[in-house]
Amino acid sequence: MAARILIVEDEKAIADLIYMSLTDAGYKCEKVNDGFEAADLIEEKRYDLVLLDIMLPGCDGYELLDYLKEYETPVIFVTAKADVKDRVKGLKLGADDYLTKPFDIVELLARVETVLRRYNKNETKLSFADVVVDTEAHTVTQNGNNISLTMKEYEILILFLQNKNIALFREKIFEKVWGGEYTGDSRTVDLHVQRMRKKLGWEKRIVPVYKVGYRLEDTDEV
Amino acid sequence: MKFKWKLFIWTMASVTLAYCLSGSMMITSAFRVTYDKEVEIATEEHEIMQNTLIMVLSHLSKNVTDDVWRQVVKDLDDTSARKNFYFCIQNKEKSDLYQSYSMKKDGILAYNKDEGIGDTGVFLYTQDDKYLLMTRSYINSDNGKYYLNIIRDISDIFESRTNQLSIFYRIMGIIMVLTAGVSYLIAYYLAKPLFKISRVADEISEGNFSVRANLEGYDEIGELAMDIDSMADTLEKNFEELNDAVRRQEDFVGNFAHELKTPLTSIIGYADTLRSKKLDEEEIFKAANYIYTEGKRLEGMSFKLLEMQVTKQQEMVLKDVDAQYLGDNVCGALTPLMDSTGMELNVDFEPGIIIADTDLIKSVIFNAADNARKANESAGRKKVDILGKLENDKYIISIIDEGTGIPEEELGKITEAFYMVDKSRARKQGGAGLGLALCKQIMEQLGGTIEFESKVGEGTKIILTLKGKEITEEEEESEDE
Repeated sequence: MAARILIVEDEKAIADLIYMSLTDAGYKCEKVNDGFEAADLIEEKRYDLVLLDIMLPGCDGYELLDYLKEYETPVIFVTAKADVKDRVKGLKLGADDYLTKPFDIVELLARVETVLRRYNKNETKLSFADVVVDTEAHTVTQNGNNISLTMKEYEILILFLQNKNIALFREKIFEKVWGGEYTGDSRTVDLHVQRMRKKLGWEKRIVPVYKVGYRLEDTDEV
Repeated sequence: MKFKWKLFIWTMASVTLAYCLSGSMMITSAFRVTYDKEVEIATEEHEIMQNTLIMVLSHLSKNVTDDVWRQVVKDLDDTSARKNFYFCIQNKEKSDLYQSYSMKKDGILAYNKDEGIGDTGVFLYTQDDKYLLMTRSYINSDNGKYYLNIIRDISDIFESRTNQLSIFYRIMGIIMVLTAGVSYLIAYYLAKPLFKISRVADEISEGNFSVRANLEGYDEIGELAMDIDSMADTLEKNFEELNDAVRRQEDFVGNFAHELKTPLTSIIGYADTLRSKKLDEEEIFKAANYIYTEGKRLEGMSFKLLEMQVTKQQEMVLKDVDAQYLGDNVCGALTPLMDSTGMELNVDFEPGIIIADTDLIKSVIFNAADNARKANESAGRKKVDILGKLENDKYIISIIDEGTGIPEEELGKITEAFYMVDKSRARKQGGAGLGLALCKQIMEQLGGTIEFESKVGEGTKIILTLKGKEITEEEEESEDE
């Protein structure tokens, strides 16, 4: 069952953006633009995660966080307040993560994924087409057969599975898997993606995008 | 040394000195009186003894030898039989014929006067821890001069002086202790306000501007305390103003960052979505539209900020602006916008001269009218009035709407940059929360004021007060030309 996420954000454009991105990634989302309404919704239904803005009409994010604690719902702050002071305050109050605006969609998805995994609210098994990945055992099976992948290839596969239908730019893949800044002249990313693709026989699923990156496409033709 | 101790030591010293001087003077003079009396008594007694001796001798035979003298004086000594009272008789060679008390020659302390003819000499001796007063006279006889010495022991008056002195020292000890106590209290009492003032000054120098000495009194210390208090008042006020300015600056930067990040988040996010996902046509339109509107919002904000910056640096030259001309101008410029949004605009300016800058005052009126329009839009009403009237040397322009109104507690904040009463509504209408901040800044530069009257649900009145005057005939004529 897909995790249920509540988006509390008064800025319609941003709420739509998050909603669109998370829905595409397979989560079940609801959005609300007012602190009080959010509190009502939380009382009424249970969520696996709440994305919370701090400056809200009605009651602000900090107050809402206090209220949320009683329901033991994980919370990620999504806010323009980037001060260390504000971050510390948010995290100290019990938020699980703190994401500052402006953010990348990939970043948002990764944070959501991490927090959900921490609470075991996400499935430990990622499956896509004929491939099943057990994130606890770190094993990849295709049609019941074990596929042996290197660490980097495994991480790249996870990244693609978490970002289905989204073009992953080389720099993003590099940042996420290797860490550090992408210098642009390295063919490492392509090499690893291509080797992983070959091992799984996913040449038609993971397609290059305008020579800037790759996308895992949800297509039936293999 | 501390003022308290200085005061204490000086008080002690002066009291002690005064007491010592007066005490010793009193004791000395009392002693002097007693001593003089002793001398007088001694002299009188000596004369009586001398006369008795002369009388006794005159009854005796003519040839009075040394032995007779000795015998007579011895008898006299025996009959008088007084304690501390001694006789001594000497012949003309001053060798002792009889003495009941042996006097040493070197024991003399002082003599009041020497003996003369028919006069008694007085000498003070000290011997064997005794003070002895010796009176001395001579009697002429056929065998020459005979000296009669009578010695009295007057140790007791010296002793009483010593006693008095010792009592005096004891009393002095007590008085010193008492004086120490009293003068310490006085010093403490006098120095206490100084302590307080010093503590206040310390606190102020450590940055606590709210302390006050609060001392009453019209002496120099009281004045000093009041001076320090008024200094602290000024400091506190200035510091608060400074803090306020810093807070406003911080708020501005914080708000600015926030206002900048919000549209940026949408722009970056939707652009990222567009480039990384396969979207259908509707989604593409939605994303592109968000990028466009948020970009517009950024543009609007940067224009407003630029305008604020430019007007801030602009050199202000105030000119006479004809109020009715301005009114016509405003009406003409605002009508298309008001008509297109279905507003009923009513502009009515009394004749008069406004002392201002035409472009800037227009900018203020446009901003205020735009606010009025948005408020009406939200409340679903139509009427916007812009009225001008001359009052003495002021020209007052009011922009009145029938919109949603502003809650009273928010009225003070609405001219702060980025402040929005209803954030989500303001966003929808494309506001950045800078319009009224800009108005306030311009009004300050024009030397005028901006005020707000508002009732929730009934509408808002923005009142602009500027310098103004009546149209003089001369100007009217020149206008006609």
